[in-house]
Amino acid sequence: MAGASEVAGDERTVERGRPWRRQELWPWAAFMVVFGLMPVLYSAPYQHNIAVLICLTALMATGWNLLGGFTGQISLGHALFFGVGAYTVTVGELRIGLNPWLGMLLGAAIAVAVSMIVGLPVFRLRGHYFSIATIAVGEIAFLIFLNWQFVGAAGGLSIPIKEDSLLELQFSGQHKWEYYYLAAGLLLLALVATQLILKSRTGYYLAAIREDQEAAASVGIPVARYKQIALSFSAATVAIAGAFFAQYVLFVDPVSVLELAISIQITIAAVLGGVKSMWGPVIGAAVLLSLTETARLYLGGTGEALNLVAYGLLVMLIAAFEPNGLIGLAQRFRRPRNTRGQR
Amino acid sequence: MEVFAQTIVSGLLLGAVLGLIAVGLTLIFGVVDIVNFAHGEFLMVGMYIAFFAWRLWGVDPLFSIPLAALGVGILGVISYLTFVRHAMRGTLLSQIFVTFGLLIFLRGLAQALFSSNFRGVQGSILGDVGLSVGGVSVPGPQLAAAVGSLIATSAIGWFVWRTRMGKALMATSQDREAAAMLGINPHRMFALAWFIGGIATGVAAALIVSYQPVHPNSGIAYGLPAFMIVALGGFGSIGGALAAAFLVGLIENIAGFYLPTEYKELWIFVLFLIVVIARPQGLLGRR
Repeated sequence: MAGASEVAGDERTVERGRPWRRQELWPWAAFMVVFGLMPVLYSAPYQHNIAVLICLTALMATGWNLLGGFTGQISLGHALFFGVGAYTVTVGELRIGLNPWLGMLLGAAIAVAVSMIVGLPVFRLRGHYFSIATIAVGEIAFLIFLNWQFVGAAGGLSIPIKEDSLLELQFSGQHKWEYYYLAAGLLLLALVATQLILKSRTGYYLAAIREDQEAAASVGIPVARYKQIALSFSAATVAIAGAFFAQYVLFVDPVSVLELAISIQITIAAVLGGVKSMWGPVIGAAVLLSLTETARLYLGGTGEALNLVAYGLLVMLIAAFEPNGLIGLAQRFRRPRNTRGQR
Repeated sequence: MEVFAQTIVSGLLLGAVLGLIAVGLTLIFGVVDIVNFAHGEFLMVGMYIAFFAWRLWGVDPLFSIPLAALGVGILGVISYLTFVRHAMRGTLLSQIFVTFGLLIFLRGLAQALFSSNFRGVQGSILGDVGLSVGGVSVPGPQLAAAVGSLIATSAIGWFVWRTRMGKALMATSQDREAAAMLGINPHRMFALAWFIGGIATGVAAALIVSYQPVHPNSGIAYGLPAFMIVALGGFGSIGGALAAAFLVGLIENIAGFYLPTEYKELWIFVLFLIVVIARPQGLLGRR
């Protein structure tokens, strides 16, 4: 036991000594270039809409992945936190005239509080039981909001339109690039935060919990506390995405922010890209939404259905043959060359 | 009092159908160790089979039960052989998402082939039949569905507990390695579990299609409660699933009447959370 912790300790000092190794820098550079130039490459307004949605989905999936991918607790109820963020910003603005940026922070704080209430019971469960319990939690939230008059019930709530301003987080321009760069900025922040967590002691604890919970507990890792930390970060990130989404579409109702379909969308983006890597959810979101929007554009209603067929098939293929997602698939092609180089 | 009797009867009728669907789901989980998240979509496929048998050939849903059962049974086996088999070796994530992928795939396929329109069987044999006992009305189609479900559930019980092949299936469910050492081929048993789970769902589909409209999302209304029921009863426990199904059917109807109607589905999820947290192995489950 002592030996095992010493090994982990060594590894940590190595990683901590040089937190940003060169081969880890190029994805950041690629991210900056691709996301920086996206509005230039895609200039039509509807393409900007896709770009904003890619950023928001990537943000949610990144938040989900710290809990689902890196800690191995597969939540199927994360729409709850998306909804908490979206509703906090909307209700805050309507009832007490709260600034949307403060509403976003408040939404994240409430999401963390909710995650603590939810985490206490659901973390007693494991595996399939945990996942099904998270579906139940998500559905309870959906049904409550669907009938809760104070938050507009099934009809939803609209955010009043104001003058364009960064402070009010409203821009009426057709090209939407302000929204895009703000969403991309939030995504960048979430990625940096994730990287810092993964490189810290917490990151190693989370990986240990994912690999073997009993073993992690037996070497003294406070399993329950670290699962809760992962859930809280995850909840806050998804709530921020929810708040931004509400501010972007200026409307919120249970179907668009709290349905099981939203929870599935969040997880699918991460699973598609690859849950073992921090970049998986970003790539997954980009591919998923590009596919969806292209199909919708060229094929209309049928396109939407065929798109479901295609991505259902893709998810099955990935689950059955390449659990590390598109990133795993890419590495599969790269690996032979690397081994040749080593010889 | 009459109203209370009515809610009890409606609850039992619903419970019987949910029981058959949940037994199929719990059987697959018990043997294969995978939650079929596409179970509601299996039901939807069965409903389309029975609907088109009526629409194209004028066959009453009651007589297309074998066809729907066989169709969904085969769908189960194909799902197992093509994707599920490979995902079984993978992580929990793979095991969960392989059937989630199947769910999305089947919904998309139904939408592409048949559009999102609601379709329903009209003028089925039992359509106008109904009983009325002491002020409690029992519509014919629902009664037939409940009785048919109970017969089918009993048949499955007979198969798994009384026949040689069924006993082999249960042996695999209890201990895969030990069963394999006794000469039971686990892969055949996995495929069999998917087949029987599919048959159960197909029978339920043909039974409910005479009073439930079919559309690409028609599986959710039964699929979501089925997951709760299976977990409530204890994953893999057939008796537990059946008991939990009646409990859910009763609660949905009683709570739907005496508490605000709009929250009637809520209590099932609340009950589920309370039970599962107090007793993680479910009501009758083993660990």
